[in-house]
This record gives sequence, C-alpha cells and structure tokens, in this order.
Amino acid sequence: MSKSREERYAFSESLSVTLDALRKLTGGTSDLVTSEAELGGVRCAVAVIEGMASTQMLSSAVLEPIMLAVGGSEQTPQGLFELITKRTLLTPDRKLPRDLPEAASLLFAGFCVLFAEGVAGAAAFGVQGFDRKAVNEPSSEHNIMGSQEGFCETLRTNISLVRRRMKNPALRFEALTVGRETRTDIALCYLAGRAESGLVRKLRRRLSDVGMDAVLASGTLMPYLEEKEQVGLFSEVSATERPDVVCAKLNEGRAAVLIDGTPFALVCPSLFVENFRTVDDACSKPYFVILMRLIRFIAFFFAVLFPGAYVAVANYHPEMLTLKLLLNLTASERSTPYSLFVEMLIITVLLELMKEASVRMPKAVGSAISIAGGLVIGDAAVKSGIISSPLLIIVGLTATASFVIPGLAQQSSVLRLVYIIAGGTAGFFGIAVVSGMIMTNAASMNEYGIPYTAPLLPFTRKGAADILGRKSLRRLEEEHSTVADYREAADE
Amino acid sequence: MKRIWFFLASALLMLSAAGSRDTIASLDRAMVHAVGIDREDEGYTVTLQVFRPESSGTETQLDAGKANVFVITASAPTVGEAMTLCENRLGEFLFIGHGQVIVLGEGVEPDDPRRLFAYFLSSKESYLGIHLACTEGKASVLLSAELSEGAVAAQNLVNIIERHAENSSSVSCTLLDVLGCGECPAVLPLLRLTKTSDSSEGQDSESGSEPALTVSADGAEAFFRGGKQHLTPEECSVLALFDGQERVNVLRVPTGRGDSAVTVRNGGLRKSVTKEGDRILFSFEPETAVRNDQSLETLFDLAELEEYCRRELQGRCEAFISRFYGDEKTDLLGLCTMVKSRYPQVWLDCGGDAERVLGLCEAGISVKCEIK
Amino acid sequence: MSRISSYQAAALMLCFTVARLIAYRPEGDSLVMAAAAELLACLGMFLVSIPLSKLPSAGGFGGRVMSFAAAGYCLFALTLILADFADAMQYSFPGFYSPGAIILALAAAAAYSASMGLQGCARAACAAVILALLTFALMTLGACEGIDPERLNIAVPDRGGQLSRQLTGAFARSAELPMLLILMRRRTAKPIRAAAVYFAVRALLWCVTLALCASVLGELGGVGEPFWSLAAFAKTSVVERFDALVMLFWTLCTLLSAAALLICFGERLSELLPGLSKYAPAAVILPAVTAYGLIYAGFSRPAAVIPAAASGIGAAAASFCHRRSRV
Repeated sequence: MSKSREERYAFSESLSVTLDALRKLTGGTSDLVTSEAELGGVRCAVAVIEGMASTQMLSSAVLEPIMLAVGGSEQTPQGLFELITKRTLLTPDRKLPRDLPEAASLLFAGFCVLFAEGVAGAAAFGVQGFDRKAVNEPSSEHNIMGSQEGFCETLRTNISLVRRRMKNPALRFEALTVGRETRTDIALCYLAGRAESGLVRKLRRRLSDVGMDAVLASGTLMPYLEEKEQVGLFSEVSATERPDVVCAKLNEGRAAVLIDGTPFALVCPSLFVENFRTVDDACSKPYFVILMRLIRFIAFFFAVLFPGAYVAVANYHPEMLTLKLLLNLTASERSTPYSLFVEMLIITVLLELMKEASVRMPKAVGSAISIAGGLVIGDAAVKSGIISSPLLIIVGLTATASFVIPGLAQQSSVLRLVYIIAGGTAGFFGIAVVSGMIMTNAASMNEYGIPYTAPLLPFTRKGAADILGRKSLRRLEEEHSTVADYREAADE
Repeated sequence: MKRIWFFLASALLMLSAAGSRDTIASLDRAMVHAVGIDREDEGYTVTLQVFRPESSGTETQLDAGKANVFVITASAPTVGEAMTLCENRLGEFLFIGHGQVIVLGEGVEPDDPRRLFAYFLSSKESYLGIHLACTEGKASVLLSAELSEGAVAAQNLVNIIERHAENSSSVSCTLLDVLGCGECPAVLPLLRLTKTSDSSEGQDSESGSEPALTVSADGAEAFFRGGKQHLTPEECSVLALFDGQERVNVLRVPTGRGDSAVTVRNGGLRKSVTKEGDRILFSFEPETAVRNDQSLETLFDLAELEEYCRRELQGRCEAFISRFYGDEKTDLLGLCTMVKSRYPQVWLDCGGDAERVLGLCEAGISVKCEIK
Repeated sequence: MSRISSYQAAALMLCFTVARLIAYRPEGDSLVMAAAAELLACLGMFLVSIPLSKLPSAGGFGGRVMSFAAAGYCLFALTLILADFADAMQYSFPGFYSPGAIILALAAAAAYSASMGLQGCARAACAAVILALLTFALMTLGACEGIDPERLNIAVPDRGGQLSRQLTGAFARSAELPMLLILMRRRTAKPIRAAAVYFAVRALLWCVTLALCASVLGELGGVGEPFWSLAAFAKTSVVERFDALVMLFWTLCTLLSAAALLICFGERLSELLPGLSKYAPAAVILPAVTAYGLIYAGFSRPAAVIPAAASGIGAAAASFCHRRSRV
C-alpha cells in the first residue's frame, strides 16, 4: 500500500531513514550536505544547504555549544533532544519543523537542521551565511539631505532598516509566503493603530490569493494589490527603494510589502500627488518646497503634454504663437522633408530607444552610446535637415522633464505618444478628448476607499497645504494626519 | 471599461479626425503680414505682404542682410475674391492670423465695415486687434516701399503707428474698433510715404542712389456715413485726452530765447453727464501732468508753464468742439454712446438717429494741468 | 451606489453651462438683456428646484413611466448636445473637422468616461471647470484693455421681446435642471446646496462674461458667437490668442456633460430593465449616434466617415458583449 504524503514525509526515529527521505525529497540535490557524528552516545546528523549556511556560525553557535553542554556524559536520544531544544539557547532563531517538507524549507532559508537517532523530530537553527548585497545608496531615488541608505535584496536586512528607523512596538511585520514554486518570503508591515484594519485585512487577503508560480520582483505583486488593475492608467501602488520613505508612509497610515530578493518595497494606497514629493521636501524651507513642487508639476505636464500641444498649435492654431516664434518655426520647418507630426513621432521614438539603451547597455560602452546618441544622432539629424532644431530643443526639454518624476515614467512615455498622435491628427479637439478620458480614468480610482486624486479631487482643506507646499512641521506635530483623512465624505 | 478601451477610443478619434478633412500644415502656408486695399473702378485691388523664409538667411528668419517680405497684388470686384486670386497666384494657402496691419488706400471708406472686411470676419484665424490705417494715394505703393533693408515692413508700420499714437500726433485703430463702433465714426491713422531729406543731397545725386523712404503717421482720417474728415495732429492730441491710455503731448513752449519742447502726460478723465430738460450736458475734465525736472526749473517759471500748457490744451479742445460739434456734427468723442448707455430712452425716442441725439447734446471740456 | 458631494454635482452641471456659454449666439439681441434674462432664469430655476428635489421617488408603474421619460429625455439632450457641438465647431473652425467625425469621437469618449462612473466624471468636472474659469480669467486680463463700460446699454427697441426670447432660450437649453432632478437628487446628500452653488456660479459667470463681451466688442457682440470673438481678441504676452484654449475646455466640458447624460440614461434604463449590462447604454448610444452622425454628414465623405463609423459600431458591439463588471 502506498504511503500517504504525511507518512512519507514524517520524521522517522531511524536517522538513516530520515536522511534518505530528506535526500529523496530534495531529489538528491548536490548542495544538500549532511554530516553525522555521535553526541553523548547518540548518533546525530546535521544537514545544511551549501552556500546558504555559515559554517563558522554553525560550528561556533550550534555545534560547539552542544558539545560543551553534552560534555562527556551519555545521553538518551530524548534527553539529548530536550537538551538541545529546551535547555540551551544556541541561536535566537530556532524552529522545530513538523515534517520533512518544512525542514527542507528551513534548509533553503539558510537554517541548519539537526536530527537524532531515536527521535522522530528535528531542530532547526538559523545560521544564515549566504552572500548578500550590502546596503547601498538607492539607485533610482536620489536626494541631497536625506538618508543615503536603500533597501537591498535580503528581506531580513530590509526589515531591520525599517525597524531601526521606527523603534515603535506598534510597528508590525507579518511574514507571508507567495509563489507556488519560489515560495518567496514577504513581509507585510504597518503601524498598528495608524493603518486602518480594513486596509490591512484586504492586503493580507490579496497577498494570500496570489497564485503565481514565481514571485521574483516587486512588479509581480503589484497587480494583485491594485483595485482596478486592468482599468487604471495610473497605479495605486507605489514602489520605493528607500526605508525612510517607507517609514514616512507607514506613519501616514499606509501599509508596505517587503519582498525577499528585490530592493523595492510596495506601498499602498498611493496618491497621485505623492509622486511629486521627495525626501528633501521635509528638510527644506517651506517656501523652497513650494517652488520645487511647482517645478515638478510643470515638469510632469511638460513631459506629457507639451510635445502634443506643440504639434497641435503649430499645425492647427499657429495664431496662438507669437509672431517671432512662428516665423522661426516656419523658417526651420520649411527645409525638413517630413511634416512636423511625423518628425515629432520619429524623435519621440528615438528618445525612448535611447532611454531603453541607456538602461540595458553594459557600462563599458556607456560613453560610446552617449556620444552616438547625443552628438551623432541629434546634431547630425539637424544639420542634415531631417529634423528641425526647435523640435530637438522641445524633445530635449521633454526628456529632461520626464526624469524629474521617475514614479510616473511609464505613464509619461505612453501618454506622451498618445497626446502627440491626438494633437497631430485632431488638434486641440483631440487633446481635449484624450485629456477628458484620462482625467475621468484617474479620478475614478478609489483605492481602498481613498480617491487616487486626493487631496486635489475631491478637494480637502486639510490636505490642500500638502499639494503645492509642505505643512509646517509644528502643524504636523499637532495634526497627526493619516491617509484616511482623505477618505471622501459624501457631503462635507 | 478596461484600459484597452481608452486606447481604442483614442484610436477611433484619430482615425475619424484624420480621415475627415484635408490636412494643411499651417507651417506650409503663406504668412500674410500686411494687407492693402485700394479702390478701383471695377472693384478692389488687394496687396499682400507675405513672409518669405527662403530669403531670410540660414540661422534665423530675420536676417537684416536680406529682405524677407514678398509683395503680391490682385484685383477683383470684391475684397474676398481678390484675396482668393492672390492665393491662387502664390500657390499656397494664406494664413492671415498674424496680420499686423490693414491699410486702406485713398477712396476706400470703411462706412460699411462688415461688408468691406467680410473676408477677415469669415476666417477664424483673423485677429480682431489687427491695426487699421489709411493712406494718401495707393496702399500698394506704401506696402511695396522698401523702408529699410531686411526689416519686416508690416512690423515697422505698426510700430510707427503706435509711436505716433503714444505721442498723440495720431490715433490707433483696430478692426474691432471699426466693427464695434456702431454709429460713431471710425478714426484711422493717416500714413504718408515721404522721402527723407539728406544734407549730402549733392553727393547722393552724383552717386545715382534713390533717397530713402520713410512713413509718418501725422494726423488721422475720420470716416462716417457720407464722407470723411481730416484730423490734424493737434486734433488727434485732443482725442488722446479721451483715450484712457497712457499718452503724451509734446508742446512747444516759448522761452526768453526761443522755443522749447515740454512733455505733458495724460492722466485721468473726469466726466459728468446731466440732463436738463431736453438738453444733455457733458462736462469733461481731462487731467494732465508735467513731470518736473532740471530743464524745466532752469528754463521756465513753473506756475507760468502750468498755465501756458493748460491754455494751449484748452484752446485745442475748444477748437475741436467748435469744429466737430458745432459746424460738422461728427461725434468723435462718443457722446452718442454715452447717451445710449445713460439715457437709453432718449436714444430710443430719437429713433437711434445720431444727428438728432447730437442736436440735444452740449459738451464742455475743462483741462487741468499741473506740474508734479 | 456611490455618492458625490454637492460641489461636485454643481461642477458637473457647470460643465453644461460652460459649454453652452461658449457656443452662445445672441442672434442680434442685446447682451445686457441676455445677462438679465439669465439672472432671472437662474433665480426661477433655483426656486423651482427646491420643492422638486424634495419629491419622493415614484415607485411601481408610475415610477417606470418616469424612468422611461427620463431616459428618453437624456437621450434627446445627449443628441442635441453633440449635434450643437458639431454645428458650432463647423461655424467656428470651418474646414477642420467633419461633423460626423466629431460626433463619433465625442460619443465614444463620453461612453468611456461614463463607464468610469459618476464619481470619476464629477471629480474630473471639478478640475475642468476650475481650469476653464482660470482660462477665462486670463482671457479677461488679455481683453481688459479694450473694455469700455459705456458700451453697456439697454437702448434696444424691443426690450420686452428680447428679454422674453432670451429667457425662453435659457430655459429651453438648460439640461441641468432635469439632470439635477433625475440624477443628482439621488446621488447627492444635499441637492439643494448643489443647486444653490450651481445657480449662483452660473448667474455670475453669464453676467460677467456677457458684460465683458458687450463692453469689449460693442456692436459686434450681438452677432455670431461673442465668446469666440472675445477669445480671438484677447491677447497676452505669452498666449497670443485664446480661441484654441477655449476650444479645449469647451470640448472637455461637452464631453463630461455627455458622459453625465449617458450615466443618467444608463441608470434609468437599468431601472426599467434591471438585468441590463453596465455597458448597454454605450452599446445603445454609440450606434444611434453614429447613425445620426452619418445622416448629419450627409454621406458627403463616405471614404472617410464609413470606416470611422464601422469602428464605432464595432466598438459598441464589443462593449455590449463584454461581461458585466463589478461597479
């Protein structure tokens, strides 16, 4: 009779049977290392995955203390097991797996598992020693006056980075596992009492419902956390590489998800106006913050709307331009072979091409690409008359502006093309129609009951100061506002 | 709806918009800077100044070394047909959105402006603030004149008109002023093409070069139903007092050893309108000021200067009233508009007849001048 | 059913007002009389809306009749709005767009916006109205040099006739009052406050705009579309002309108005036929409007309009076949 799964993978009192079952479970993988020895007269075995456990820690924190505790005395198997599991404190991370699959999971997580002859059980000790990336400066979110630490690929380290900044017992980390095959460890973190329980519950449920086989990047989980994933042009979930940003968001009543293997944490709910905030805003004078926020808003609309509006104005409504500007444009466009609309499309596609190349290219050829892209293509294209110089200036400004708001980079790129096509084929009428659709799309997003366009739409007085500026820190210390303040009342 | 519908709806928009009309890239159209309209026996002659980028150098469109305007003329029974003929001859669609000035030649009278300017009214590109001017002789001659090498002539014309208007020696008039003035006469600046006098005339004639041309806008023409009247620069300065804009008057004031120029700035205008029986009495008090400076203090007695300036301007105003509201009954100060606004029943009782209304009006101007 | 605030409801109704104001034609009447008529109309409609908004919703057969009438009115108003818009575009921007294409594109965009729900449309309307008013303010600055208060007058021969004509026009084209009663009453906690805010802003907007048009344009204000003339005249140092910007907001407001009517139509239709898919209104409207666009365009450009119309019908059919999504 074939054994049931529980019977097959249960611990056996026979050490050799247990070890055989373990090897069978792991498919005889070559990185499973087992060592046998006698401790106190009891035959024991320790199993580790090569490269995941630290041998130094294994010997100094586990084996040596056990041997010292046993001394030379003879032990019974149960006595030895009790000594190891209850009467000694070897590592803070100690687990008692219930069966071999759990033991295997712990092995893959960097634990060492101790088996003893005559004991139908095992003890696992955290002796992680796998190579990990150090805590570095964040690669995508730079700032001047804030912290220079960013998340790394190790979940435990990331948790510690957040915990270090928020020494509050209300800060909770819930460990979850996602990915049927990868079994990636994730941590749902929130500040109890600040984050709404409904929000945490919903997130927990959604994370539990993830049915993906492999969860290897933060982007894999984003669709599961978004409420209107297939509808929204914008995302209700933001990703950040900075622990200080996560702490700030947790303080505002949001929740974050840390994922093992990726240096990006997901924060939700996220609002549209938050894309225009940076860490430096908290460290700068309020009047400077107002200026910088304005610059960022202008940069976003510049990046998305300006090329399309330029094509629309030049083709359909040239009377809007001043005379001298129009004369300049006319003179420069006369010599180019393509229409302004086609030129703009070509140069926009070229821009996206160069952006993609700059991300993917090996660092060794970086400077060559910059020279080729900037000088050869840009300058030569103008001199040969394929595109006009005002157009190049506009696209250069647009490209620069699009890097000001990295959080909306995807939307900027796509919507820019849509606006260029709308403006080029239908003028301001096309731009108006597309704008109407985008506005209703963004305004209809209600993530976890909080409007995505809050505190702008619907307008809330409390949050109004945060749109263009920053509330004074003294006022913040009195208000203790959270994101739930933006929840729309049916009538104020 | 799913996100894909956003892109489908946008695609539908583009498809329907792109397929529904002929695309004319505006940058490929001929930019008309100035329009001249002359009266012919069988209709009108239209002269267009068109921007020509090909002759404007390599880097920028305004290259002082080369001329960048091109003049084209066509005649037809109506202005609209003449414009169409110009378009045909140019081989490009006309873009009149940045037209700077419309010059009316001698014989063209804007007494029915909506018919005369129908072509401009029908185009959505037309700018209602385009300047209007009239000229002695032909508008085509004015627009064809090479004022200075390489300059865009239309811009120069506008600048000349505006400078003259600011110095109160002429007026500024736009298409909207003419279309919206109703029964009031349209007052247009009068442009004259003159040759500049040169001290080395002898040398010029030996070398065979033509004397340079320049345009001045001294005075104005007032057009009304039934005719036109010429306004001298002094009469234009009276109109400037009622303009509400920042204008200056340059008065020639005698000193012990000759004459000197004094700049008088226009200030506010106080007006009161009262009705006494059948008569409507208008009282205007334009306020002017002279900015005190070292030259005034050294040349003049300030109190006498103040009185002199006041008397000079008062005299002009009284002569103005006497001429236009005494003899000729031409409502250049907009009294009918004020009656319509403040005493609508009087206007209605007069049946909207401007002459009858003016017959009931009496205007008095009292100029104030102070040195500040 | 999601609710909107009274200010959002007012903003949605203001979209109708802005769209109507921009395309307003006095037909020779005095602008001052038109402003006076608008003031009276706003006061009258506000007073009427107070008791009407307190009426209980009808149930049973009477309720169905009311729903049917309301749905029919919404469809009628939607068709008129789109047709008027296409007409006015032809008048103001001749040769740029064909009426069929405009109707089709706007109907498709309105269907998409309506599918985003009333909350989305109402919030977008707030943004649209605020931006439109800011643009109007900028335009006013650009035109203020030409303001002459003396041009404001009521010296017109038939004052009573003009006033009554303008008053009738103000009532006849006001889709907002029925919208308030059909839609906003159920989706706003304080419909009377919404009405008060809306009518106050509408009266102010109309009076200021018409007074501005009259004082700047003079006699020209009574002819054609004075708002467009004003937009063509206003000039600042950065923006030479405002007519293109005005067209942008006019289109935006018309789109949101059409979306609101579509939502209203869909809700009334679902009251009549409870099992209807959420997308049925779009599926009904788009072919109907496409057909209207084709007839309106007169088949003058079959090569251009027919493929566009085919896409519209295809899009409508696809949306009809789409499964019901959660609201």
